[in-house]
Amino acid sequence: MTDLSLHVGFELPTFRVTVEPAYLNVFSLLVADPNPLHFDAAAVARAGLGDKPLSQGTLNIAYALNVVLAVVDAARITKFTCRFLGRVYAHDEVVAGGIVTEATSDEATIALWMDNGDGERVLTGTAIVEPAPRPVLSRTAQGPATEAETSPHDPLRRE
Amino acid sequence: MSTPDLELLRAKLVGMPLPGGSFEVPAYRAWISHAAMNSPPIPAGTLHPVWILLGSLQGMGVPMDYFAHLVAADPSTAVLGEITVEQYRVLEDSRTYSVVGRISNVERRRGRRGMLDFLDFQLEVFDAEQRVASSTQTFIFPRQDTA
Repeated sequence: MTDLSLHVGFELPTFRVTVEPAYLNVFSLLVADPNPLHFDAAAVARAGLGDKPLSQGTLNIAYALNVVLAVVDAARITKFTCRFLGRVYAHDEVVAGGIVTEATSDEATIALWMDNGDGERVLTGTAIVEPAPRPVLSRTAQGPATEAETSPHDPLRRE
Repeated sequence: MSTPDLELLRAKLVGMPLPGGSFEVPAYRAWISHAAMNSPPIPAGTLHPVWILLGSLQGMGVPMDYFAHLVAADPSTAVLGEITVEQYRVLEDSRTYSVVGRISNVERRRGRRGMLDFLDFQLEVFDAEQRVASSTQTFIFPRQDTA
């Protein structure tokens, strides 16, 4: 994981994903959300909201947070906010990004955004993150710490 | 579905505690959820921060459509408006967390799409020792009339 000096104006790498219906189905099962708008296109049509399932709000939040998680450890996120401005549909290619708007010795504030497949802004928010922990270079008299010792966790690989 | 009087709603609901409960995310469920979120690699044992919301919603002791019934609205029209989450300690898989919550506010506003009711509720997440996270979430309910 890349750890960055989060200075004002720093633009975090964008996160892009095509919202596969399978993700929505899995998410509905995971959170036991019975709302058919997230998995049944016919229900969406009956509600007059379009012809494709709608992404869950919490999944949209996850996408926005992925922007932050690409550069800082989850444990460093102390606060986040999201405001929903529009809908995300299955098959949309969403794009999310962020920019550091404030930075002190105690924390950095990142302004987050996400656009749907039509280029409409569907989410804005903020994330507040703590500064990077100082690496432990030598904790004993037995020599310098190994990489594993300086990293609090092993990355979870999904491959 | 007729629109209830706002002041009656506020008197009935603001401050109302939720039943609460608990949740635990097994490691396999964390893995599948992180894949469904297309999450960047997350340290083993750690949950994506959105699990603060997912877990506390599951552990609050009522289903998602409970709020719609409380305000006499159609559950299928409810949308999540905004959220604020504070994380004091990162959540971990295979660990039991308890949830307590309450309804914190009910408001009615006129938006571009007509009259809307906003219901705020707060959820707090605790491990065996201390509070580890809290959230405020707002559900929005469109109204057909302005009674």
